[in-house]
Amino acid sequence: MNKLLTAILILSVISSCTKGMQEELIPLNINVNNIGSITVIDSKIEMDSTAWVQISYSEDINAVFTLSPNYETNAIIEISDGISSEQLTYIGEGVYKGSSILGQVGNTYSITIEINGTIYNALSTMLPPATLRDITLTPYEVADKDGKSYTAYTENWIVNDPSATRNRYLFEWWTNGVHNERMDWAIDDNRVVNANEGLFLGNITRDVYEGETTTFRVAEIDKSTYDYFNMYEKIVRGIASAGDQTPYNPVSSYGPGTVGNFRAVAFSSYIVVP
Amino acid sequence: MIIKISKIFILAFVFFISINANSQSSFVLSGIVKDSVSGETLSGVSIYEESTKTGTSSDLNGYYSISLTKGEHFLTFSFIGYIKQIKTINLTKNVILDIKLSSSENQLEEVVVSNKKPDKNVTSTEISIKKLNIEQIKRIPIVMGETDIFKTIQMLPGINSVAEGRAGFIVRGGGLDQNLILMDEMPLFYASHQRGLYSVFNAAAVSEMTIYKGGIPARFGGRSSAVLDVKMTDGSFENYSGEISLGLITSKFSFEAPIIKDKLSIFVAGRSTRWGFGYWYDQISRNSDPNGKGDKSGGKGGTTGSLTFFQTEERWFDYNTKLIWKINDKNSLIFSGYYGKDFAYTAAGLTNWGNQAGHLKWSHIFNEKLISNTSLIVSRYNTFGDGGQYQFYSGIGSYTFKHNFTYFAANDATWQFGLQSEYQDFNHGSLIDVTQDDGAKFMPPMQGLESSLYSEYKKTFNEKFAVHLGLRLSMYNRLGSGHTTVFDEETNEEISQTEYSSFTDVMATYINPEPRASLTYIVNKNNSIKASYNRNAQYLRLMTLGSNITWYDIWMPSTENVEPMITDQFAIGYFRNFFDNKIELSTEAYYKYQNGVSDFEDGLHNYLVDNLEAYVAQGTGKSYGFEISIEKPKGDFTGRISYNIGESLWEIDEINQGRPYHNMFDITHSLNSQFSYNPSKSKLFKDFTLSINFVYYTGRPVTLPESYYYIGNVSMPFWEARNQYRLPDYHRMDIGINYEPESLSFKTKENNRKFQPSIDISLYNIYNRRNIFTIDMVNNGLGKDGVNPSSVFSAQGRSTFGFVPSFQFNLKF
Repeated sequence: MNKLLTAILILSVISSCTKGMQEELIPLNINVNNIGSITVIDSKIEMDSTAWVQISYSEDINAVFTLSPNYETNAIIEISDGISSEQLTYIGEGVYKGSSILGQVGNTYSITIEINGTIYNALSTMLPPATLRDITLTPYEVADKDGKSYTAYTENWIVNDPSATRNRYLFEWWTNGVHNERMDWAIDDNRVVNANEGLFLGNITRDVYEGETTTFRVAEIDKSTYDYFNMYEKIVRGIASAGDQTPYNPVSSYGPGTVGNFRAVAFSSYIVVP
Repeated sequence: MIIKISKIFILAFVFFISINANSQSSFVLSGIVKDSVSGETLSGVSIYEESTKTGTSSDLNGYYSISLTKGEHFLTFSFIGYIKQIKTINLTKNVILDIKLSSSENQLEEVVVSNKKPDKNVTSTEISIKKLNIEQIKRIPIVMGETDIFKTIQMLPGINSVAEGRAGFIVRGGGLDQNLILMDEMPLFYASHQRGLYSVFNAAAVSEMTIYKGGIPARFGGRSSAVLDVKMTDGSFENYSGEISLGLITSKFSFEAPIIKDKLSIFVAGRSTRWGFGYWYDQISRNSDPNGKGDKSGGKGGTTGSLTFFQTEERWFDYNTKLIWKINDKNSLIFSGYYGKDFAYTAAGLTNWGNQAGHLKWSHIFNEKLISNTSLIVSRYNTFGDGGQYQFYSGIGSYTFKHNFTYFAANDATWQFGLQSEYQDFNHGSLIDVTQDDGAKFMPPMQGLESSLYSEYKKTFNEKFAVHLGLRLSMYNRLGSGHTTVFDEETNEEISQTEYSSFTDVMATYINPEPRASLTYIVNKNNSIKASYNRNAQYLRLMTLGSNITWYDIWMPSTENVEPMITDQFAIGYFRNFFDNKIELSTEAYYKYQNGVSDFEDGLHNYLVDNLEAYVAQGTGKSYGFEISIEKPKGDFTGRISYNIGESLWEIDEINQGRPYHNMFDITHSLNSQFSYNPSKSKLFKDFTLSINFVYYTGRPVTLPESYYYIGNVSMPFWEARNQYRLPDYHRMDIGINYEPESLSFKTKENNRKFQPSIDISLYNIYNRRNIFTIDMVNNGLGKDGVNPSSVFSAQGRSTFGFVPSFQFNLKF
């Protein structure tokens, strides 16, 4: 009898130990190699707008926290549309802007950047803007922590997407005038379901409340811009991690030793106020 | 003239008589060796004749054949775990003699072999091969309530797991898909439950297993690194018996019986996470964590019901069955089947995956020297995911015809040959939007035919040399319907396409000879040197986007754009026994060169692309290393310590800028030890068996960012190279206690049947080491309450298991 009671007691204790089967997160100190600085170039020209370029440098992964990077202030940048060219002007915080050449659908733009004798080049062609077919807003009720009720809306968008051609798109969401950069989304129609010549997607940032404003922008993009944003979004949203077989840096328009993109894009823009 | 012709005839007659007289001076003794209780055939049984010093062993079907001179002979039949039998036979003709061996009570006591014959570790022709029967497997401490085949083989030198709780195993730096996993000759494509926590092999249904790390015989093909050949239990032709186990995590049953005595037997076994204590434990787990605080990973809420991992709730089950029909003395028909399924419930929906396999085999004995086996085998693996709006399907099917012969040319020579043809169909994925009328995306299915002829010959010379030579000729045809595509190498865009409409259309063909050879030199009864070479062609590859096999990874065949992988492996080893074979030492060095290793190009995170082939990058790989193992296999105290050191590198132009990099299967150092003690002579503790494991290995390679940068206000990590760093080293210790008290056994009055209860307690990871299986780089963002973090990014490891106790109650009858 004693043996039996002892066995039951031991087994009961054992059965209560479930913590070991829980996944745990453990902070780590990682020592990595010092690879020096990488030149970072983010650049674009939008429809009916002048060129915009921002140049900065990377920091060591274990470097002290900083809100802003080390900017390049002395770059010489020239943009050409094949007919004319202009030099961009530095306006601060690593940003250089054009003044005369505007983005036009069908044009191919080339950009040349010189930094301390090193030359970087990139090209991009502006494709026609994508168009929106429909949007549906589905209301539902939510309550805040004080129990007060609000009406929120789930947004669903359908973008015209011809099935006969391979198309790639870049989507942006702005909520109440703020661009949710981390949620920029690039889609290749080769990789998604195309139903009735349309791409179906929801607002991936957050649902909106009554009175808020959502600005939805969509542009058709070339392959190099798609490849860049495809990886960008996976990194930003944590889909690509160190445990991945294939993490990699977004493909740079400017070649090895750099990170960044040059894109000529024509956005269609739509505003929704539920 | 007539006299001349007559003389010729007389001479011919005398010659003929003398030939017949000579041929009648030796006879063949053959038969089948079985377990006396279960009736299960026993392979590897040693048959030795003392006076002539000749011997042989039973084959995979328990069949043996030995040629002996006319007259009286004393034969010893011996097998580890069984009481040896000595038979006296007076041979005057060919004789069929079936043998039934009885299991010994102390199952690892020395019962083997005449003292004139060296131990198998030294004398067998096999190098890089380890065979274990179920009694040896059961000595390993149970883990998470299960005696697990994969965890057992991971205790052997040169074999490692990818990471804790992850599917698959690594052999000598080879990829996870380079291991051919066979269950009664049925190939399995995803052989794990619960994302790798358990294998699909129910130990209660396993009879024996053999792992080939190298020296792979010619009868095996299709994979480059290793073969795990698991033989499932045959049903008994004599008596019925069974076992029920109720555990905290899994519960299982097994049962075998003669349907018709000595004619038709059946064996069935099943396991589930939802029976018995598994279900109650689920409730205890839920109740002990009502606020969901246990899960710190910020997921679903921390419920631990039914073993929650990665914010999912997971359950599984599997079933095995085997029917054997002895049609007559020369013919048997065997059916073996497996069905298993996993379910995972997440916030996104339900996913399930599983294997279904069946094997129908006809065994025929032509005569005492020649036997054949003819097989039809089907194996399928399917996955299904339901995320509400989207549903996903993928799968692979394999349909095989095999015809094999074994010819016992002499006592010291065996010839095996045969052919095989396997049709494969691949469904790489279908994604359906259920809210749309035509909202579906189907990956183009693929088909292939893998055929082979093989021949292998094993011969021993003068008890000093043994050779095992083989040749396999394999051919792969990619079949229609489908299309071949030419891709732009830079952009991966399609340039041109050719359509093939019929399944008889051959879209691509590969033919590869695969020579195999192993050589043994027995220096003396305690020392031997062995060497082997094998070439293996692999026509399938498992494409995975993560660091380990997942249920949604896909198998891809060789195509006109993706070539087969060819592996050449060399191994040499020194083997020695000490103290009259009580201690066994094994040392081996190996080198593997692989042409055609495959990896996805950087950045692919989705299989649903029309031009998936274009993203497969191929290159070369090499692995080399050294293994040493010391084992005490017999007695109250048994154990093994093994260590291996090695390196595994790949070189692919499109990855890591063409620089060589450690692939994710590279393990530099690995130390495994396992010990077991059963004090059989102690009155107080004779019913207890204590087992201890200790495992250590170098963390596997990972890719970590070295710097970060800003795009607008978004901070981004930057990676310089692939697999430059390593996870923290892995180590853990497990303890197992088995209590099987004879005093608690009882017999029924009606039929005197004995019931034997036992308890298994398992303490997994006893010092609660939180081993890390992956590292996430966390973006710290802006600081809260005005206090910024010390760095923009910080590293965070994820660990699956800490200390996990479990127990299991068993009842054998």
